[in-house]
Formats: sequence, C-alpha cells, structure tokens
Amino acid sequence: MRFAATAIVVIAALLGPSLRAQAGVTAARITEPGRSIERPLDLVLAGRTNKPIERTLMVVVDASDGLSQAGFADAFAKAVEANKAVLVRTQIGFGLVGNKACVIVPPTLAHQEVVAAVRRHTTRGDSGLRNIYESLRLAGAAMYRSKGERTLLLVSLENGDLEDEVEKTAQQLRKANIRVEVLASETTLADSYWQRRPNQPKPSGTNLFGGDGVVVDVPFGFLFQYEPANEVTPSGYAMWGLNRLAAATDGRVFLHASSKQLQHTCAFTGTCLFCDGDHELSDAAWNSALVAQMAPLTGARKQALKELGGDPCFRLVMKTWLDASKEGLIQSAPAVRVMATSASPDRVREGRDLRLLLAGNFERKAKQAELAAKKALGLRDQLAAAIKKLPVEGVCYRARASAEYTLVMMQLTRVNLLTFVGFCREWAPKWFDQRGDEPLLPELLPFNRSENPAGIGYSNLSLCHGVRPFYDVELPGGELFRQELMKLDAMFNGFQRRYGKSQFGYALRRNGIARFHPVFRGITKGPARKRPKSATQPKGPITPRRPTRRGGGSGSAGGPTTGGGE
Amino acid sequence: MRRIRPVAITLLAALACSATVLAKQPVAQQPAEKSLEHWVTQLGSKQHGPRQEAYRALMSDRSPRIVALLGKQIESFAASSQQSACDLLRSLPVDDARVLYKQLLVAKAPFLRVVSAARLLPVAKQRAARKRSLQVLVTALADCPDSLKLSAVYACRQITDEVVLAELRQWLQPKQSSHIVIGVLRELLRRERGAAKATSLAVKSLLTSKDIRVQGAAHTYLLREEVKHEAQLAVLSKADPAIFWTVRDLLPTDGSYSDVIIAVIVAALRVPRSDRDVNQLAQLLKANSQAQLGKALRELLGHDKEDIRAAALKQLSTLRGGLENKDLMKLLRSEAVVARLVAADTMRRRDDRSGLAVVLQAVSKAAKHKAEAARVLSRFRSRQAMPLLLDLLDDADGQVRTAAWRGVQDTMRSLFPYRRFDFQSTGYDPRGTSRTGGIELLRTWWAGVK
Repeated sequence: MRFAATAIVVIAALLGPSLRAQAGVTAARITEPGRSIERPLDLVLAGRTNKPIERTLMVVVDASDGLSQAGFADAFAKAVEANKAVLVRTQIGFGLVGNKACVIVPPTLAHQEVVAAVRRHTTRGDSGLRNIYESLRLAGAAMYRSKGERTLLLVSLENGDLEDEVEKTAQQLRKANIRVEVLASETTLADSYWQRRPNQPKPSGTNLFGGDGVVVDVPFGFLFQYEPANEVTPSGYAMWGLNRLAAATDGRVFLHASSKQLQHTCAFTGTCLFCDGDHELSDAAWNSALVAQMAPLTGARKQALKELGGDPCFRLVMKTWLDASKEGLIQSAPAVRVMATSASPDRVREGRDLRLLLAGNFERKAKQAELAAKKALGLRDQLAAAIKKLPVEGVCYRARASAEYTLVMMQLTRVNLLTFVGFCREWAPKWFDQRGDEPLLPELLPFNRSENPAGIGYSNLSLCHGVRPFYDVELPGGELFRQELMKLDAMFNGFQRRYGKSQFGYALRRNGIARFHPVFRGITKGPARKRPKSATQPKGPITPRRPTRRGGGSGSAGGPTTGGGE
Repeated sequence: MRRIRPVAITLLAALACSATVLAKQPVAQQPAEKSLEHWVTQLGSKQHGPRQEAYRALMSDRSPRIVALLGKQIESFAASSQQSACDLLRSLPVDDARVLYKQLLVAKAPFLRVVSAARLLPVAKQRAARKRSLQVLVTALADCPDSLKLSAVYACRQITDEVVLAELRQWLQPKQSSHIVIGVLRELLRRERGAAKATSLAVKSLLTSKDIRVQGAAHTYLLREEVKHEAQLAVLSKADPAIFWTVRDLLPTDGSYSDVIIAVIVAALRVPRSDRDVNQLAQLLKANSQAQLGKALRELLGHDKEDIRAAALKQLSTLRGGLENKDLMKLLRSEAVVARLVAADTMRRRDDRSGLAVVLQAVSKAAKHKAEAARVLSRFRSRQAMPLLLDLLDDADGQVRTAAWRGVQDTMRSLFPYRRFDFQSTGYDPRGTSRTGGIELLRTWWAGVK
C-alpha cells in the first residue's frame, strides 16, 4: 500500500511540469480552419452525424454591417437548401441579438419561414454595442423543452467583447445540453483597445474586453509606438468570451474574414518608406502548428488566471511590464496582479509619463531620454538573463513568446530613445537656429524658424520590411544609435526565425522606428455644445455606439486576419 | 530737382498709359480670332488629317469663343466633323455652351440633338426643361443613323433615365451589327450596374441572330442568369476564337467564373494577340483562378514574341507562389534583361535586396527596357541607386527620364525622412529641353549628403 502511494507520488512528480503546460484547453482545439461563411453553415446545418436525426438548431444572429456585407442571408438559404435531406427532422429557430425576447421564430420544421426571417432581419445591420450573452441565455431557455440533439449557432462578426456573466451563460447552456457553435470574426492578439479606453460608455453590469486571452498578456503602449501592435495584429482566434462558450459546451468556433481584410498593408498609419504597397511578406503564410502553440486558454477566467499565475514566463512578462511602466518605457501597466502562486485581475492603470513630448528645452529632453535609454538597456539585459534561466519545457509557449517579444521591444524602445536624443541635439537646434544656414535646394527648411514649437510629435516608420533597410536611411542619433540599430536587426531576425510565421512575428513587424517632428499651436475651435439648445431638439444616441477602429476583428470589418490560418 | 520730378512723373504716366492702350488694342486680339475661325472652318473638312489638326489646335486653346464660332457652322458640317465639334464642346463647361446646346435641340441632325439634350438634361433645374430635354433625346436616339449610334450611346453616358435606356434596348435587334450590340450592352451593364431584367429580355431576342458575334455577346450577357449560356459561349469560342476578344468586356468583372468560362478565358490567354491581352485576362483570372492562370502564364514564357513573354513573366511574378525563390535565382542569371528585372523586382518585394547589383548592371544594357529598368531601380530606394538615377535624368528617351525623375524623388523622400524637398525648385522637367541646370543642382545636393 505504502509502495503504491510512493509510486503515484513519484509518477506525479515526473509528469508534473509537462502536464502543467497542457492542463488548460486552448482555443486551437476548438477553432476550425478557413475564413469563409459557407463552410461553417454547411457543417453546422449538417450536424456532427450528417444523418437525419431529431435535432433542434437555434440560429442566433447579431445583425451588423459586416454580416449584411458578407451576404449571410444568401449563404444561409443556400446551406438550408443544400442540406435539405439531413434537416428533415431538424427544427430550426431564429433569434436576434438585441431583440427583447431574442427568439423571432421558435424552432420549426418549416425551414423557409426561418430563411425568410433571417433575410428580413440581416439585410441591414448597425454597429452598436450589443449584449450577446444575455440573448444567448434567452435563446437557451427557449430550447429547454426541445427534443433530440440541441445546437445553438451564434453568428456575430462584431460583438462578443461586451461581456456579461460569460461563465454563468456557459454553465446554463452546458446544463441544458446545448452545444454552442460560433461564427465570428478574428480578434487581435491580446487586444488592448478597451483597456486603453476604460471610460467607454457601456450598459450597466457589463465589461468590455475583446482580447483572445483571459487577460491582456502581451505588453502594449511601448514608448514612441503610435498604435499598439496588439490592436492590429490578427490573433488567429476569436474573442475569449466566444471561445469560452464553445469550449464549455463542446462546440466549435469558425472564423470569417472578407477578402478586403486579407490584403496586406505595411503601415496602418502613414506610408511605408520602402514600398508602394506591393510588399509580399515572406511570413504571410502562417504556420498553423506554431499559431496553435501560441493559442490562448479557453478555461474560466479564474481558473485560467490561476494557471497563468503559476507559469514562470507569464510572471516574468508581467514583472518586466510593471517595471518598465514605472520607468515610463511602457505607457500602460498590466491589469493583472501576480501573487505567490497565482494571478488575479487588477484595475487598469497607466504607466509613468516621462513628458518627453511637451514643449521645453531640447537639451534637457535629450538628457532625460538618455537616462531612459539606459534604463531600457538595464531592463533588456535583466529580461534576457531571466529568459535564459527559464526551463525549456513545462512553460506556456505563448507566455514565452510574449517574453521574447518584450525583449525585442525593449531594444526597439532604446533605439527610439536614442534617435530622440539625436533629434533633440542634431535636428531641432538646426531647424530653429535663427542664424543657421539655409539648406541647399531642392531641400527646404521644414518649418518657419521664427515659430516656437508647442511640443514634439512623432510617427512610426514601419518595421514591416525588417530593420536592415533602415541602414540606408538618414536618422538622427549618431554612432551609438547605429550600433543599437544593428543589435536590433540581429534581435529582430532572431525573433522572426523562431516566431516569424505566427501572430507574434507579425506583431513585431507592426511596430516602428519613431520619426519626430515639432508641433505648433494651431487654430483651435471650442468644444461642441453637449446639451441641446432646447428640449424639442433630439438628443444623441442613448445606446453606446461602437467606435470606429483601424484594425482588429471587433469593431470594423477592415481589420487584418491571418488569411485562413495557413 | 523741382524740374526733374514733374518730368519723371509725366514720363511714367505716359508709359503707363501706353501700356494700357496696348493691352486694350483690338490688334492683339485679331490674329487669335482669325486663327480660331480658321481652325473652326478647317474642322469642317472632310479629310481626316486637316480635321484632326484643327481639332488638336482647338482642343489646346479651349477658348469659350470657340462656341460662338462653332454655332455658326456646326449644322453645315459633315457627320464626322460634327462628332469632332461635339467632342470639343463637351470639353468645355456646360454653362459656356448652354446657348448653343439650346439652339441645337432643334437641329436637323439627330446626333447633334442627342449631344445637346444629353448635356442639358443633367443640369436642368426646372421639371419642364428636364422633360423637354428628355423628349428630344429619346426622339433623336430613335432617328440616329447606324453609323452614329455608338457615338450617340457614349454621348449620353451620364443619363440613366429608364426611357433612354429603353430606347437603347430598342437597338438590340438580331439584325443589328455586332459592334453596336456589344457597345450598347457594355454601356447598359455599366449604367444598370450588372444585368437587368428588361435588358435580359431584349438580349434573349439576339440569340436568333445569324451573326455569331451577336450570339456570343448575348450568351456572355446571359451567363449571369442561366448556366446553359456558359457552354454555348464555350462552343462559339471554340468555333471562332476571335469571338472571345469581341465579347470579353461583357464578362462579369467580379471574377466569379465557372470552370467552363475559366476554360474559355484560359484558352484565349494561351493565344494572346498582344501583351495587353495577357495583362487584361490575367486580371480577370487573378481573383479566383490563380492555379489555371499560373499554368497558362508559364506556357507563355516560351512564346515567340518578347513582349508577350515579358508580360507573362510579370504577371506570374505577382501571383502568390507564381515564382519560387529557386526560379527567381535562375531568372536573375538569365540572358534576357526583362527576366533579370522581373526577378530582382520580385525579390525586392519579398525583402531580398540581392537583385540590386544585377539591376545596376542591367540598366546600361537594357536597350528598349531601359524605362522599366529605371522603374525597378527606383523601387529599391537605395543610396547605391542614386548616382545612376541622376545619370538617367539626362537620358535620350523621355520615358526613361520620367521614370528616373520619379525614382529620384521617391528615393530621396524615403532615405531622408527628416528633410523636406521642393523638387519643382530645381527647374528640372523630364519633358523639357534644358535639363542640365536641374541635374547639376541635384548632383550638388547629393554630393553634400552622401
């Protein structure tokens, strides 16, 4: 007896680390390949057995602009027609997200009624914030008495980030034996959009979170990065809330993307220095195995955080992120509190502001930036040493990738700080020196020397083509900058060799080298009058509107995608 | 001093006066007026050469005075001259020619009535005026002779009123000549944004035509509605491959072709008449049939004509997986300059800049592909390319100079993001005759920063 107990302990100790890495179910297990709208409808309507068994299928649709443009109504009608034989004993119902009772057509064998209702309600859509979880609970309740296999198909290309008791919804649907199949858009890697906008109006009792993981686990807001890569990098997966529903009910997630979303752009803001939009990214075809390794967890938030909290890589990333935010190198702080063996959600905080961009003496700013560059170097070396000590096995791959990404980003931040120093010492004094020489034609002075700058602005020169092409580009910073640029090139290439064909490789390319310029006071206009002039004038929309965003699966149909998870 | 000042003032006043008188003199206007009259009269010539010369001269002038001069003579012109005159009028703002257009609404020639009504209709503010223009347009279209029907269709391009479209549909007759049928269908597809029920009905009557080109056009239009037309179009194209070239503009442009239509397009792509055909058909197939397109383009790499080989290679390089790295390395060492240029450019697009040295060498030997070589070179945005681009600014070929000038600007903007340039200040114009000053200025600047 004692021998048996000892053996179990020994086996458990041996298997411990490798088991820990695989304990949580990741989104890779539930996400289906492809980006079309036809295949998911075909698979879900045919059912898992592809036989005419007794079934109930409730189609819950979030009628958005993207959905109407994707031609959902036609595709649904075609799929019903194509699977007519299998659907003989399947009752199909139709529900609409945002409708008071959700269900528009209760489950019926008259499928054409459902097709007509789908067409009626989905040909036009709007991009409002809608609570799909509440609608799913209502739709689930309408299926309690239905016979046979129960499936709920949720079609939502824009919502899912407005979280409302996700776990309760998942439990309720699982208890009712309802399998949730999801057709959704791809979200971005550790989407930071809502975390950067904590004051966005939303319905009471809900929370806005659109990332693929349970928390934002990849640092964002690096100094001198105009737009976080987290908001424009396709993750290969849907939002955590939707993944959670599918995972908890043994369902699947299908992703959809329009052909417009599959087009490559080097720079989301500004133009690319090195091409006219004809860039063929060598890493464009992603490695599905690599993408799957970096898939987010789909467990309940509490459980997943507990698991992440025990991972040394995750802890390292969060610690570095926190340290860097305190030094002003990252302008956000992690919204996770890491404790002795676990982690818990924390309030959203901003990082320290170094105030480098405000008006003032250029030399003083250069000194400040030099100091910050030294701190970036220290943090980079500290992180590199810690990564070396990490065990090769038994750690979360995603967290490891995140740690290595943070390492390269610290070097990029250092490079940007050094070019800022160069800008303050080499270019700005030359531009604003009243006794300075006029440049030789065809060059002109970019600004009027007599004007006083009100601050410093910047844009990013995209790293989409890598670091090497920048060797030819005239950038301020001198010899030290050049040396650090070469180091960045080596680190960039090393990172791309390992993660190039995955979401993390793509994310690194979405960052850029900063190009600084002075900003001047313009003609300002007073803020718009908020209150209507009289009681008869219409007030603004009461339902919170979804703000337009440049990239990302949620919010607009123009975001990037992995192109089918190749 | 007292004397000098009044004298100076008097002199200045006299000078100013004479300048004003000179400016107001009718003598300065008379030669131009005469010359315009001369050109307008020559526009009425029955010979193509003098008519074209007059058209070009008047087009470059585009003075509103042309309107009055044309008004006197346009109705006495022959049909071809009337077309040229109407083209001239269309290049002027409607308000400048409104009076003449109103006058032409009652012209004897139906074509003139079509043009004037079509110009006045979109700008008519009152309902009565709009109704009148519409009435004139419909009647004039019905009276239009066959030789001017296509020009009439293009003249009323902006009009989408159903009565006008219905009149155009009347021209879709089985006995109608194929070029009118195809022209009308192309315009209807554009104005109705794809196939429309009423047009489909009219097109069905064309299926009984004895002209197989008309039949081909009808099948091409109708394949949007019924699958059976695909096979019939395929049969016709097989019988006479030239049919495809006449109806290709009627194919749907969204790229959603069935296998039958893809086979028809691929068959045509295999026997192109020029490099333009290769480029056009590749665009049609690129959206959904990349595999077939790639195969057909590879076959064209062995074509007799160099232009077609070059076009096929360029199209192939834009396909995903069209040219593998192994192929590119082979092409980079090829004898043909175009092949080397395409390979280097494709490699650059894939972040491999090792083709730059090859392009730098190829420019001097590029002969008729020098402009393309300059374009490829400028896309590298490299410091190494700058001296050569500056040399090409003085090339004998205007196209090479234009490509190099654009390349110099793009390269300088990319390599020096902290500097602002005003390239016009150099005074360089690739089409100008004296270019040395501008080039010297650019060379001096480059010597200072490199």
